[in-house]
Amino acid sequence: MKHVAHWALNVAALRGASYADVRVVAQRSRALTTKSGKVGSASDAESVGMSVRAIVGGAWGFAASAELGRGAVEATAAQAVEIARASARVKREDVRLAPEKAAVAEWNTPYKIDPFTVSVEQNIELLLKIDAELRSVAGITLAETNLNFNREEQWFVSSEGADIHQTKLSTGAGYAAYAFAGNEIQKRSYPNSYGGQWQNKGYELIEELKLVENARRIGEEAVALHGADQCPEGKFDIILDSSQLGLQIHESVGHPIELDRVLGMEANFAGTSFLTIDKLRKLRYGSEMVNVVADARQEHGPGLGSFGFDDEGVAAQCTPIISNGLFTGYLSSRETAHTIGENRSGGTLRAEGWNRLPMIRMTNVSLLPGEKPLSLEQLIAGTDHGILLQTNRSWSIDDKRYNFQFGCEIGWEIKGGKRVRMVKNPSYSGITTEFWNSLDAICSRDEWTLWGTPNCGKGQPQQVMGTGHGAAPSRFRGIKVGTAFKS
Amino acid sequence: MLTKEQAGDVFDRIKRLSTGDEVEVLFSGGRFALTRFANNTIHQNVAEENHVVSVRSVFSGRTARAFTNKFDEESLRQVVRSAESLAKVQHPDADLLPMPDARSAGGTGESPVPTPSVPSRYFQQTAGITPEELSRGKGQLAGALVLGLEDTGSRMSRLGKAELVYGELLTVDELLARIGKAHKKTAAQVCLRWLTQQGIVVIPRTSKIERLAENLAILDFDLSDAEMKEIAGLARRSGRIVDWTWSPKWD
Repeated sequence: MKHVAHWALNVAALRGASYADVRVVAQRSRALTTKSGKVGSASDAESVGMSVRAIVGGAWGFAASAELGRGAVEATAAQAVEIARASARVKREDVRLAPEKAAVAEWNTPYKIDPFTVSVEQNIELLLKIDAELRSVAGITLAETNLNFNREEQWFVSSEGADIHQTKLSTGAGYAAYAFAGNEIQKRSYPNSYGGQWQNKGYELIEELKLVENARRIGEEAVALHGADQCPEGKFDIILDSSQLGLQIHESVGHPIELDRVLGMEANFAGTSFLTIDKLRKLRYGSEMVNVVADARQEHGPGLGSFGFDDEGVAAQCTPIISNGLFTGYLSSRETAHTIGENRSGGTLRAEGWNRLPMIRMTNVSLLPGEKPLSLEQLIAGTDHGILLQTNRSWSIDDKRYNFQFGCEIGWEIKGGKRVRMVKNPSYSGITTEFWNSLDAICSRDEWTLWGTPNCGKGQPQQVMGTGHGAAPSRFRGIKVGTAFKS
Repeated sequence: MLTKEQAGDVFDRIKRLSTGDEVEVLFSGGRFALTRFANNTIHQNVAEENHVVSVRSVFSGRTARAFTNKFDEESLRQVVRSAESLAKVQHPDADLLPMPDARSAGGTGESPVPTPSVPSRYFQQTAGITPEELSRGKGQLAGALVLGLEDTGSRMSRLGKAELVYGELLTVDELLARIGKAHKKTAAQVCLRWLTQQGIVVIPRTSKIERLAENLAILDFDLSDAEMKEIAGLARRSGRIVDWTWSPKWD
């Protein structure tokens, strides 16, 4: 496939591009679901194509084609150049790319078992076994399960000499049990809601998740929620489990630090950002304990935001986003790095596929665990009166990412350091910086999980991207708690 | 672009490879282009061409789909194999309807059912706009956005831009006047008739009772096919009825 990329690169150069890069991408995916004892949807998809990004006269052009014959590839490169030339007529300023050493590299997601080698029959058997466990609980009226596998192989070459062959693999699985009673629906999910847990791993992830082993408990909790009291309302100390905290990080740290939103270049799906550039290294984002990084390196973990190189050939990096509570960094690209005084991209430019223009995306935006040993049970034991909230059920956040409200599937009231009762329909709300400044305890590394968010939408045409968020259960003081989903 | 013949060839190959009771092939895709503005400049200017086949196989009430955008023999073999293996793990669906046969689908049967008429969404005015035209349009927008809020001056400015940008002004009024004269109708009545004759619901605004009567008096004549085409022909790429950069969404 590399020769295909070079055909395009040569034509772009001949037509006058001052810079060009080419991605040839082959993607394969499998998605399986079951619903109450039956196979729901089952689909396989394959997509192969190439795209060219070119700069002419200081402006970008982009063109993509699924046809990989030489004529089509060269025509696509010529089209990218033509588009760039047209864009240059109305540019305000020249595109400035931060320098990047041209990498020549091979990189693959480490994995043990290629999920595509596991038969569909075996996958379905697992899902139906989970389904049967969930529905064996009296009161469960609907059970849903899912398994997903994705592979993306990419050849990246640039006019600067970059030549990168990268293969990424991801696996996801999860399930949900619903209990309908009267006009009320209660739901519990495992390991997380909205698709479960996703990581850049092979089929071994499925074996690690202990899906079947947890199914009965999840079903029982969904039913028990009907008999639980409504979550009390008022100001409480709250403890968020790591999966809810992962989404909290995604929405109230990850999106606002996307530099294209900050600069007004992008507003789809998540709005712009309250984090104007003047706040860099000045804003106290959170308490002293808050340390957030955007880390795409494999050593951070097998997150959906882990890779060797981003889609403009920049090596994976770790960028400190919040350092001891101080706001210290954005997610940047080669084009935007100079706007924050950086001379190198943070390496976050990614595209959903061969036919999409790469844009700034979250990598693994993670809250680092506490340094002192602290388990969830110890954290609960150290809390006088509070609410433990688990598993996201709904999210709402304003288009500057400043005010938010989240609903969770289940809550537990804590009194005198003990869980005293289950509460249903819990929600909490806050203002981003006030919330992060109220954090006073983070569990340590052994409670830390790198969650995958497979469904982050951005851009136009929309691109769906997987992002990673590491978190350990944490406590926030004096948070407004309410009741969502009142019947 | 994928032609009807090429699509037919892909379908025939998939049909030959298929071992299911039934097989359905859906083609989607085409050419797509988008120019996106932000901060008063072009933020994204992109184009793509892609075609995808979705293959649905059926075995005794069990059905599933697989997708590919590669049409070589091995890729088609693989997509059929995937759809069939996924279909076989499904539970039979008692409510699954059989696929329409050639006759009811309006295909190659002896008495094909006519395909229902669907209004075309093709607009000559916007078909095949080039990147250069888009950037030119952006230049216009940047220059006169504030003035462009439908006051007389901005309309004049718009016409002036059409002259400057496209190099000619359309003789819309002249054409409508000529056709109107033949039917003893005004240019406005010709416009309304041209729209209603295509089945388009028209809601003209007027504050004068005589204009209301004029607007209603369009049911007693027909524009000939030639006249209909002549008016539609005003929508030349090089001289649009409405300068598309200023036109509302319906243009």
